[in-house]
Amino acid sequence: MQEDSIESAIVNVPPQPRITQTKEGAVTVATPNDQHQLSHQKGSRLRATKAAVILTGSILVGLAIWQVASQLVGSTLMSSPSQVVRWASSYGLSNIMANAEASWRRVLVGFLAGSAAAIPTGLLMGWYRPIRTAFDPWIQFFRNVPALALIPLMILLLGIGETPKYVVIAIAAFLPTTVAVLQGVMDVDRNLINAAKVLGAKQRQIFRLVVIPSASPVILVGSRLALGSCWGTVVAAELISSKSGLGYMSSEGQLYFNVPEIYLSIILIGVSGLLMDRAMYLLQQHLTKWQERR
Amino acid sequence: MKPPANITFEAVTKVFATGARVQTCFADLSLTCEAGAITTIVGASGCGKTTFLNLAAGLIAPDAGTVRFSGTPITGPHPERGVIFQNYALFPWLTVAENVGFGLRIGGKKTQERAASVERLLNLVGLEHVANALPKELSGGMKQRCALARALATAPRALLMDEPFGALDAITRARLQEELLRILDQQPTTILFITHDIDEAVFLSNRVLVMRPYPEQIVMDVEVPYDRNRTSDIRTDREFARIKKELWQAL
Repeated sequence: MQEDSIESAIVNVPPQPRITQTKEGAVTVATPNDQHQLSHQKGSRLRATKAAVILTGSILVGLAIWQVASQLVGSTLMSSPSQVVRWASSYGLSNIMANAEASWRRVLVGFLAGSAAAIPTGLLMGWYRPIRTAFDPWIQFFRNVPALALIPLMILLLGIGETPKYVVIAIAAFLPTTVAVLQGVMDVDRNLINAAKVLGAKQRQIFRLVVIPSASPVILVGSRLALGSCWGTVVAAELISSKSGLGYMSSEGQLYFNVPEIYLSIILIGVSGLLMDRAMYLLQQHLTKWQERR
Repeated sequence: MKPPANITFEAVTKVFATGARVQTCFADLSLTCEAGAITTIVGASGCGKTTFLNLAAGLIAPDAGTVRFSGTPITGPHPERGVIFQNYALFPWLTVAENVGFGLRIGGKKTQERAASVERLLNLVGLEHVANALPKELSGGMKQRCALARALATAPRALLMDEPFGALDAITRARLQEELLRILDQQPTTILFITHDIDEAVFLSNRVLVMRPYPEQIVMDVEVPYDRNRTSDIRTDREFARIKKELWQAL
């Protein structure tokens, strides 16, 4: 059992506390780990402060360049940041939020519906070869048809309401997610499946307790890519046919030659996409904590 | 707990088709691993020793002949025959305790019912202090202890070990070998042990078989005279050295 003393240093085992006694007789207890963590925290706090300074600086410099460029190009075609802010406040926060809400709702509904269909499809394709052989040509075919190309057809089939948008966005989410789930299932370590088998696991248990958790990191990467693709699709769909949404704001700005509105929509589209992607990234990090990372 | 049981190979043939070529792994091989004993197969890589173990595990089926466990033909994997893999094959998303309890969970035991068994096994392999750690936080030696505890959880009547200490450093390996003997004292089972390490084979086994690629197959069969209470002291014995030398010559 001596081995453990060597090995325990590698794992998070509480190290022996160090007890020090001052002249006055007060006893302080400090574990070596505490001190290590203290200096570690100090270092990471310093790094975080540095990063925040650089980030803020970068944003300010970007805005400044934009301001100068708009003066050089002329504000008719290139609104300055201050013009955009002025226009935004006259347009009103509630109107802006209503458009943002419309886009977010379409993306979330479509994304969730598409993922809900993709996960079982990908799992079955990955697990059963005949299903894979039957479905694969269709998946590959539709992967090469951008979801946007289906919008005209969907409008004819489903009218101009919200339904065709949901469907197109769901398709945009479905394809990359299906491919990721399929890949995740096919890449499951044979050894882990065998380990479960020799412990008595039946097909269903192997699927639920080994295949799904094992494939989850790849599935989550697929979901993140799918969300990005949904966001691109919703904006385009709103440009083509919509009376609300951030994409609509852009086309409205073009129609009435309201240039600041176009810029505002671009900013909101970027910020929304960024927020969605960060949220997805954090979820992914949280759910795959167990993975060995470099 | 059921007593250890024997594994019998009766005229077993296994071939592999690699492209157009059919390669014989072994043909008409008969062998018995005695109940409660440690039988070791030693051989260079590619001699078919892992195939042999997979047949006993029920992970693959023979092309001819029968593999029996306690007299009954093996048709598939069963928790009565535990397997230890060289690369540990721990479930990386489960904690050490959850890995150890996996077989019991498969068997339908609820979390509370599992707790006591899991705790006993963690104590047995000396991992109680890392019960809630993830496999990625463990060293190689600890991972293999965890795999051992996981395999022992279903109270197997035989344990099939496929080069279990092959990826470990020499010091850790020697310690785990001794510990394995101690653990088996607590929970006796039949062992089929696969290794390419002659020292390990002699130290652990009651019987060592030397396997060479087909058509030679089993070229040597040696009984090791030490009892189960052996310690690392025997490694420097004259008899120990003599058996090792004999095996080396057969390899």
